[in-house]
Amino acid sequence: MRSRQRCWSNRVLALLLCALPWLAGCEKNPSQPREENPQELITTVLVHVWDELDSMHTHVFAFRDLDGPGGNPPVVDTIHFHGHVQQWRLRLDFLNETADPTDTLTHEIRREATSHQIFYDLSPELQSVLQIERLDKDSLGLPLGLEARVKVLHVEGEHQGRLRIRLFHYTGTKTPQPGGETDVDVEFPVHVMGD
Amino acid sequence: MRIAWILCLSASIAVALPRVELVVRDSSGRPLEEAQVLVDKLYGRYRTDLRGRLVLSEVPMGRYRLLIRKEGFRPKEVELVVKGDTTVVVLLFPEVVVLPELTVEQERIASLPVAPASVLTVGPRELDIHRGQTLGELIRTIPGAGSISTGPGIAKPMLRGLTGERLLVLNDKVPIYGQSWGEEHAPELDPLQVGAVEVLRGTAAVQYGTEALAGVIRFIPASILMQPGLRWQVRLEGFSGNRQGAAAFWAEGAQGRWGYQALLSARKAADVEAPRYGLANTAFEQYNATAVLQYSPNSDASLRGRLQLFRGRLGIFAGMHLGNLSDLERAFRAVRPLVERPPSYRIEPPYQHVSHVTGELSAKGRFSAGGGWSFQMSWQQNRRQEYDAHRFWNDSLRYRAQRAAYDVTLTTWSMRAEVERLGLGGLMSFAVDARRQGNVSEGLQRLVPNFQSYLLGAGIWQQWFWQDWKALVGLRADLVWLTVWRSVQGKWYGRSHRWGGGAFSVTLQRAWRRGELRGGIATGWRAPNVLELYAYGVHHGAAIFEAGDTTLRSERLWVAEVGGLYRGTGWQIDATGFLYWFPRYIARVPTGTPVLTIRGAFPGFQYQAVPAAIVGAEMQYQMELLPWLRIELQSTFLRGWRTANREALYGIPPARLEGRLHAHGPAVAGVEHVFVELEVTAVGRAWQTPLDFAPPPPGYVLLGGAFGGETRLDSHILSFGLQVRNLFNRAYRDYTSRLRYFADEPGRTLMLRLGWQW
Repeated sequence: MRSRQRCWSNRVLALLLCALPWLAGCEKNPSQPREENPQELITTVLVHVWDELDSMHTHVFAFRDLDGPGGNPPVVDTIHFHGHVQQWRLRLDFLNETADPTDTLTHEIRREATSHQIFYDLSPELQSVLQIERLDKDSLGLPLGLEARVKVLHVEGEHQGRLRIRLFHYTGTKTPQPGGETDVDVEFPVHVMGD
Repeated sequence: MRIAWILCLSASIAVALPRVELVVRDSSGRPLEEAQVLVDKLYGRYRTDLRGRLVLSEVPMGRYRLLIRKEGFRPKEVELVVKGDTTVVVLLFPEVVVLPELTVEQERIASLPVAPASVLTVGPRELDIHRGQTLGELIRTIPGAGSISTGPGIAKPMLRGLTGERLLVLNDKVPIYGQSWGEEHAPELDPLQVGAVEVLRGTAAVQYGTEALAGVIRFIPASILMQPGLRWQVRLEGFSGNRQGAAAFWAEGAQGRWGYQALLSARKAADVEAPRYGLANTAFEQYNATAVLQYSPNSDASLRGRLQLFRGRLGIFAGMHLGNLSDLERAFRAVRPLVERPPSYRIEPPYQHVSHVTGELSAKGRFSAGGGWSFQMSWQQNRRQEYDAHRFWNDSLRYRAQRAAYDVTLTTWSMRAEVERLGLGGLMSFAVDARRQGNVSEGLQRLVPNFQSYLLGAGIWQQWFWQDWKALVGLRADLVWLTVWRSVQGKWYGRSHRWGGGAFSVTLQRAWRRGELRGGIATGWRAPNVLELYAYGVHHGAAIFEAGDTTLRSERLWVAEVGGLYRGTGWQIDATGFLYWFPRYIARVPTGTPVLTIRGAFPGFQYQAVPAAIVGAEMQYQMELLPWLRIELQSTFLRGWRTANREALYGIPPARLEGRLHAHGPAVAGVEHVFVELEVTAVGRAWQTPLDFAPPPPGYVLLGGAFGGETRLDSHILSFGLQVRNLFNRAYRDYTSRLRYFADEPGRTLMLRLGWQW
């Protein structure tokens, strides 16, 4: 009886000792480089602007932050509108320019239009000068906002201000108000030149 | 040399002093368990075990007076002369008048060293009354202790406003090495696995090193009795607030010199209900398994192996998921959470998946010349995967929705050896700690870089006893090496750091027949963690941009503490006041410059070591109003600020007052240990800090209660308990909960507990 008990205890101790190298084998090596994940980002917002009557000449303005949050500050273009044109058309593109080739995320937003909405907000000094109307809608009849019309209301003199563009992703029911999670929130300087 | 002091300190340490074995029986010779034993001038009170036995080891020779009490029996006073190992059998005779039950369930006897802080213990019975669904709730009856929570299933223990890497959390005697850097990362241990809790308030840097700068919380499992036969226990719990069910199955036995123990527990909860709405995606589930094997060649030595597995999936409140600062502000303004859903057991992104494996080998013994030793070695692997609610734009990247945003695997080897000897006119202790820790990040985002760290530390402390005085002096030195690897612009870089520092502690205590006074000073330090050094990016949970500083110096803390205890006739009060002075306190400090991103502007924060102070007071009062009725009051007051500009420190909990009225009655219809308890909790408003996005929530008062008892059927013991929290379903927000920005705390919760042991 006693020898059988000793035999059992020796086996248990041997098992414990064998477990040590096995445990060491479970450990990953921190000094070994790990595969980098391709970054899934929106790095760039492009604003395409053209005269509603002349779609051949399109101006492109960009908000570009290629290194993501932190690091170098974003590069932001100033959007120019000429007062001699009463109505401008505007179209947005959302890109990931760190991917090769560049990813265009606009199609995805259009495909999931029922859970996305873009809002345009003008700073107070431009609210009497410009008016923005969203043109495209989702299947439920609510605005999407990838395309818009910009009316120049006041054509005399020069005006400076800012245009805030926000892209929201709704996790529940889409509403006419901003809601859900903010995917993009950028501000462009705007310059309206007199007629 | 006074006996009491020696007894206090020798509750669990081994020295070559006589051993006293006390066996309490009734007049028929049947062992009496749970009999209360008071030793002259000893603060704590002991209880006999299931065999009516109590063993006091390391009792100095001398004369003692023991008082033995048991409900239903006449108390007995015994005078005892100890000249060597002694066994005493005490018979108690039935009493017509029912004697009061114990009034003190938090015993001051502890296995943790005392310096300069006080050690408080929550015993099994007290634990069963207030046992909640998280580890944080187990310690809430101790002044100064609490938790920070992120929803109902995630609570991180906190002591005097400090948590994380400043606070050592022990699973028995092994530190729990999880990813303690995150507020939403709780210790990987089910409350059902805990048999008792010891809390050492104040710094224990001399005894445990850099990890115990703010103290130690030790969750103690039930020990193996090493008695032949097989014992079983089943526990069931139900919680109404989130339709939670929990079950634990425990088995223990012994064969010869081998003892074994197995414990399985599981817990599953649906979304929790606040008084006015449900909190979407706060469901969780967790599973625990523990196996312990112990070899005891004699009563003084043992070798133990333990394997513990934890696995959990914890939903994160859906209303907390934020894109930018505007989202956060919108969430603050909302009357109801931004995301709601019908209550469900479904766990959807965002959620955490946590697995933790612990392997432990420990041994302890006694020297023939006096003194004792212990050794623990552990291997732990903690894998934490956090799944983001973020969805993917590109079809080519959709597969990544199955991958965790954060996926970190932390592996830790740790070793501790401790030796205690009688020497230099007192008791000398020496401890050596070594640790090797490696982290590998594999998720979509690399918030915590890969690292490997080594720690080596040694401490020595000496305790002297002279009549009614006790003194303790300790010294320690630690070295930490850290190497971090990360990718910078596609290239793999490694960088090494090294820190070293010392700790020091002096304590003096004076005891009288009715009380004691204690005071001390101590200092300790800790090395900055990897996040404080290398964080760089948007913290979406808080909507801030945080940046680490690779040149950070170590954090240093000085503690001064004074306290006193007074025992009147039928009442007792214990009060403590303390000052924590940090010449360097590592904290997130606003840079004042917003960081512009494509998701909007985020306030910039940088980790800095700034001078800071925390001052506080804790009080505990107990009074026996009637033999069957007692009142307990406890209060905590804390203030913390940066000394340079007097700004309040973020996260310091507000003042708290708790009162309990506890009544216990005689056995009724075979039901014993019947009790009824009413509880009031009043919490004040925290100080406003400029780092906070929302003002602290207003104070609140909650009412609760508990009721329970147990009955015996032959060798079976059936126990039951019913507890209610937030009785009037009051809507409130708690400063130490991250939910406070977005939603109310859970509403009325009924908890039912059933136990069956045989």
